[in-house]
Amino acid sequence: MYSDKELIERCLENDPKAQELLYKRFSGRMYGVCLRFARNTLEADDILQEGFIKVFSFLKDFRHDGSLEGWIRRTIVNTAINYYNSKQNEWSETSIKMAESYQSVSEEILDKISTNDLLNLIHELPEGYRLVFNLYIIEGYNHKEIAEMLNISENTSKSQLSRARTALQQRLIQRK
Amino acid sequence: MAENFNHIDQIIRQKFENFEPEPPAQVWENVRSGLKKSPPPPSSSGFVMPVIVVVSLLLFIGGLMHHLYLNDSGSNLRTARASALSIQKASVFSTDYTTTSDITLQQEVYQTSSEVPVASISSTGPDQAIQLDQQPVIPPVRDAFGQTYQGDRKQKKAKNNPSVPLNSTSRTGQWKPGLVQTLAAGELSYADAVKYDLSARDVRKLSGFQEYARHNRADWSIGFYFNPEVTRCNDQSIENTVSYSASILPQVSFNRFFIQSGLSMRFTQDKGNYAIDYNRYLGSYEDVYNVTFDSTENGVIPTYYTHTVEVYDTVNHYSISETKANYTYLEIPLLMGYRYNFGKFSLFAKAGPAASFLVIKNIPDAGYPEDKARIINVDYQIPVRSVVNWQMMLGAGFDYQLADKFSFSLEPTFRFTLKPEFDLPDGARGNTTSFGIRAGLNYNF
Repeated sequence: MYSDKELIERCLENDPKAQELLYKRFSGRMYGVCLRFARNTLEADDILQEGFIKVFSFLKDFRHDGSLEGWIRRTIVNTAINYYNSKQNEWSETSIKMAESYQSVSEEILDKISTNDLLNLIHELPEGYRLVFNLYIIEGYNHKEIAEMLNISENTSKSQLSRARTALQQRLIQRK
Repeated sequence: MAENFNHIDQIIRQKFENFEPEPPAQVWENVRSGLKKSPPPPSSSGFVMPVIVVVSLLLFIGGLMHHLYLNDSGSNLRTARASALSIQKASVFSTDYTTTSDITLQQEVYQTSSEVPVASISSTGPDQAIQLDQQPVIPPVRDAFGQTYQGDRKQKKAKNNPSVPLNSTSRTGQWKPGLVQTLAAGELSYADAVKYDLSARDVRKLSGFQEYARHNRADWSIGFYFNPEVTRCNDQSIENTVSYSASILPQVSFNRFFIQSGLSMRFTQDKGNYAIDYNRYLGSYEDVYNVTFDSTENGVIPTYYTHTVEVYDTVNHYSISETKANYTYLEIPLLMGYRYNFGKFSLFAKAGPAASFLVIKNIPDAGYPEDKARIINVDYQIPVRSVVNWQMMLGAGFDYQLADKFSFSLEPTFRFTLKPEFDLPDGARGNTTSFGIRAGLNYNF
């Protein structure tokens, strides 16, 4: 069992076995990230593939400042963002009040729903909503940070999140 | 409401905390094949560069040879065909009168195995030139001054007969190396050599050779230059950069041609960002990891062993800051050029390849976005530069003679990369073009 550091060193020597080991070590978690950002599994496959090619191509630039997993995750998230940025999303602002009813979604519904079902609901969200929803709620970035990452205004980020919450709530209620 | 949001967000986050679905096997196959393709194929410049260098060198050496040797004989041939040659002052034919000794002398100069010029004495006066009339003879041979004549093979019979007049006699013979140097009949000056357009090979055998050689030797000089440049990359994501070069370039000149090489240090800077994922520092507490109890006269006294535990926010934060990365290149150019002198000025143009080696890369460490924050990951968004790149350099400018050995040089420069300067994602080629002004001082040895 190689440590992350040993694995990186061997990958930098273009050792195919080490590359496969690194892929297997992190691909599951990263595929989970891709599935959340993607609209369907085909897109998730594309993002994962492109993301890991970037990981191996730029592994020499990893500076060991943080964990390898964090760095790979960041690369995959960036790949996903670029994937959808290239589609020229139209970001629109909306009233933040729209999301107020989100609180009415009880914990019960969320507790009962499986991860795969929740994932399917997230897949149904429009791209802009889904990106902001993933970055804010699951990845933990704030609106200022999301605004910088997506090159949008903070208000746009807030409105997208608000819409995402509303849309998710509606779907949860329908499912109930 | 915000608390409710946070709680629901927390539930959703937990749902995905251990979410690790198995990706399709095909993805790894695609990644692996993508990795095999990703190293860019050997750049065509890897093949083109040596060819350019070799061809440039061959052209330069060929031009030099032509200039030093073939050009002389060619111009001599043209002169000889055009008219009779009148030489008033030269080592061999510098006597005032044509005498038997002159003939003997000429016989000594030439051996007997090949043809020699047919001399027609048109005048015997002290101040008049000796006229050499050209006779059509094949093949042509060269006389002592590199002149090409055509003689008549029928005239060979008279070659060793001093009584036969020169205008009716042809001589055959070969140049006797070193013989002319023994003649004390005057010296050939550099001006004469130029005037009569003598070949370097023949002039080398004459007593005026030293002076001639002094004017025709390879001249060495060394230049110290400073060169600010603006560089533009074909990739829109990379901003224009400004670089500064300091160069020490020795130069060797052969008449109007020159070769320049040496070392340059180029300093440049890239703008970029670093994105930091971090956790906020919330505070600290003392964690008790061991307790001992000591019995004393006053009762049991507990001793607590603690260490400080720092507490961080579990939510990731993201910060983008600007940064500048500094790079130093060592460059070795090989430039070939042509120079034209007039007065104190000389105009020149030069071109050639240059190899650039990235020797120092200085990317500042990312600063803490917040006091005591825990950095999870730093993502540098700075263009990646290749360690070695090839460039083609072009320049044209002028030198101005400041003093006997010093001259000032100013030239606009242009360069373009043959092997990309930037390694861009997805195998894109980060080729650059640069414009600059090079200024400096030359010292002529």
